[in-house]
Amino acid sequence: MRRSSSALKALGLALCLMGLSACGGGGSAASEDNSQPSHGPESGDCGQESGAINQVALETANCRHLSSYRLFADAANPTANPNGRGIAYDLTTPLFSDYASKYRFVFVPEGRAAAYTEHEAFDFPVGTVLVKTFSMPADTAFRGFDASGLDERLIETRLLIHREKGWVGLPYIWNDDFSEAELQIAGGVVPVTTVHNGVQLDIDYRVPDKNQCKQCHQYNAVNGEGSTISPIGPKARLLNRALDYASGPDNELDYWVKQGILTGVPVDLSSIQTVPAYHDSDASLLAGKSDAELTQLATGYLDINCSHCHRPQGSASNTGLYMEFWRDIHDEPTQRGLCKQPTTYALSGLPYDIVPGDIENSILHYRMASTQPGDLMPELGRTVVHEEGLALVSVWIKRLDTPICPSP
Amino acid sequence: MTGQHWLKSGLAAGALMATMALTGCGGGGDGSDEGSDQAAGPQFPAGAKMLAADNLTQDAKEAFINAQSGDVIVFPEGRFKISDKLTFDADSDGDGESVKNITIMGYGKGKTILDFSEATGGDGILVENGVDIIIKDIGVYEAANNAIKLKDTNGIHIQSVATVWEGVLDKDNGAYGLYPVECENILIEDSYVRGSADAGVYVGQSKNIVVRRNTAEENVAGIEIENSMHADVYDNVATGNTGGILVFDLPIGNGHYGSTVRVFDNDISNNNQENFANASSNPAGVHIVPPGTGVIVLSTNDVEIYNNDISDHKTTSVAISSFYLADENLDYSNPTYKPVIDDGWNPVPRNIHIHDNAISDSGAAPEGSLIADIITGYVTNYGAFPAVLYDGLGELLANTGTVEATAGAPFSAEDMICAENNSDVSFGQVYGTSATDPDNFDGSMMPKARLLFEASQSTLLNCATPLNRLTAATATINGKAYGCDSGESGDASAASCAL
Repeated sequence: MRRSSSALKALGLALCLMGLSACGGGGSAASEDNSQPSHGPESGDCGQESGAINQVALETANCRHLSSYRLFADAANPTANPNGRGIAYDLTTPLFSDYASKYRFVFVPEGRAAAYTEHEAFDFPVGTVLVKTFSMPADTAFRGFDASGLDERLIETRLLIHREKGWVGLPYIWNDDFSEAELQIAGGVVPVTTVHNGVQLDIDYRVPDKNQCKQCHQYNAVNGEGSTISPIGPKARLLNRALDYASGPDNELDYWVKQGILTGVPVDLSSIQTVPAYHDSDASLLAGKSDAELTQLATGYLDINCSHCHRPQGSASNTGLYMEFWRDIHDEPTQRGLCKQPTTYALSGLPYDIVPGDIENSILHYRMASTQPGDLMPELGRTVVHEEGLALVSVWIKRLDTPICPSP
Repeated sequence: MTGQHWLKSGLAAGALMATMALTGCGGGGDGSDEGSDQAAGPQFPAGAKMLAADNLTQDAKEAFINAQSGDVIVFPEGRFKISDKLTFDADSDGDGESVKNITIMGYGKGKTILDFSEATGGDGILVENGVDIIIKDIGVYEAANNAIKLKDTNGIHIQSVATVWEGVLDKDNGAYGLYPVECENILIEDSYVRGSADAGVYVGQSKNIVVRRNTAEENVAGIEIENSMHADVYDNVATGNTGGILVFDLPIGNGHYGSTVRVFDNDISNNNQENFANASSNPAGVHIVPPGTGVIVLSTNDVEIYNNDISDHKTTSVAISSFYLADENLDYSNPTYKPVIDDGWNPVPRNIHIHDNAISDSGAAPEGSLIADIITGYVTNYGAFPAVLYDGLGELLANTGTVEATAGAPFSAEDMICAENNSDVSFGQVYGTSATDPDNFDGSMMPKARLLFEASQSTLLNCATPLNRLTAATATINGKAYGCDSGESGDASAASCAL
């Protein structure tokens, strides 16, 4: 009973908040809501103050304020100094989100550990929270958050919490003075500006709503009932890389094992089929890559950017276009998109998802290069073109020479 | 019973917040007007979530996210610009328990119009992982891609919904109006679809489907059943499209292939619209549909087309084709096709029964780039184009026994394409189907087009052994069964079922 009522209260507060902020003003309505000050401790589980982090609230309540979970030493800086057992992590190649910087942390409860899995996200224990903060740099050449807020502007912090019945996704949007982030289940639009390669980009950054979170994070067992939420990033193939820790550089998987939050990692890390690193600065190096290297880079990029939907368990299962990194392009060229006719999408007037050697006739390229709703891919989380990702996929498609598609 | 308590409280909280949002936004006048309109307008069930006109996109998102089983979510009367795709997921909190029986509705398909012309998402409304979803009395206009898409949903009742792209028919209109894919138990009725640059009603990769009493007007394809099994399409109007009703089976490669589709008692007329689909060179995109076509069956097995009124089509009234006609490169050795044939796709249609259709005014001005050579051949040789056209090529190749990996085994009696009692219209068959008739092959033993023609059906598609009637489709939603053999009472289309 207690659990339900606190969850309800949190929900009501969230609704109230959204009604307010959407009306753009809302001072008077705030005073009508006497049950809760807009700042300061929340009531119920969200307001309890024992423990390094507020584990009870994480596991039971959708708190209005991100700070109520006490995940970071400085509530206004979600990019560093996690409380409790929080550990920062990075992926070999990140999912593109309009050139935002990302800061990722995993919190596994004391005494529990995730179990290693080969292909899916690790099997994290109940109580785990994955935290990802999106922050827009003033210039993408100079990334890094500092408290001044001059170099990067906090946008949103997403929590993915493994509760007793499954994962829950909660989007928090940072307020105008960046002192607090507030739960916005219906998402929102945050206008931001950045400079990328000397060009100013004015971006209406879109914070996904809770159902849009599910669209990317869903896992539908093939031939099974039900649809669950699954993390995207923390997979072996994306974490098998070095990271600088306070104790010095270490492999992330090794470090997680040493910290006691992960078990079952293969002894030989080189046996893990790993997505190679590709960052924006790598785009200038593409010409020097071998065909095999390019295929690894491109299929790795497509894995992290596309395969959460484009797989038999994902939201794009009906397309038959599947892009998990481990799906061998020689064994399954059609599923990979080579000479694959689109199932439903004919808007571009192009014949195949990928025409080897020919980007102009490849739907994959066309949709990555588009910013038009209905055409652009990925359809969530991107409003501008990822020039460096497009460059990678372009070079790769141009290098592909087999098989030859039947001339349409 | 904690859940029940939670549900009721949740409803109350939602209503309260909606009120607050209204009053907080300045002008309590709006609020009272809403109230009086509501009293005079349609009735909604007690506890229905009445969305406020102000801030409708956010309000709708919240209602979708917070929905509890049994919720009725009502969009206000009027036309509203929606700024983003509206996504409903029956398990958005990931607790493994789906909310069920959700109704999304308006004040009428012409009275509540959600305009997605300025939205940032591709689809208008997207429903995922739903269980028993009812969408009714609402219009969805100008979506960039699909108007209403439903995926992985079991139990869909779409009633009196309009999906529309207004104005000049344009290749940049959205693709599909009403679009369930990878779903089951689907009832689409009394709805209106117009302007799709692909298909107005498009049921894909699904099963247990009833589509009735809808009007599909001025789309490329009016109604399309694609890679779906157990579908009944009856008592619809398909008019002014490029092609009226399509039954397609496409090489997708994810295990969903079609069969058992009945198309009956539809009014299929004047589908002579120029094909305005994007000129994709995808071999089986709808851009291949010849303007002026009533019904097309492409590479689907077990289809019955009967008692339809098919009138005024400038190219042909009923066309049955293997995938060979769509793509001459079709072959098991072709890497595009091998994996999907291995997956169970079948490019050659079998067991197709065309009977008791009233067909008139067919073939006055045949056109269509895909079949340009066939048209030229018929017009040159016979000065006419057949009202019922069968390619015959897939059957011929199957009968040779030499390409079984692609075309399947030689045809048996129950595999035949049969037609009888269709207004005594002309019949054509592009290839002969006998593997032992030397006239069907050229000097290198390749199939040779015969362009067989009968001004009045005689031997073509005239089967010695009658085909079995197909079984009816039944869609079960919220525990209630719909369709011809469901035992449902009060079906306005019951007379169609008796045919």
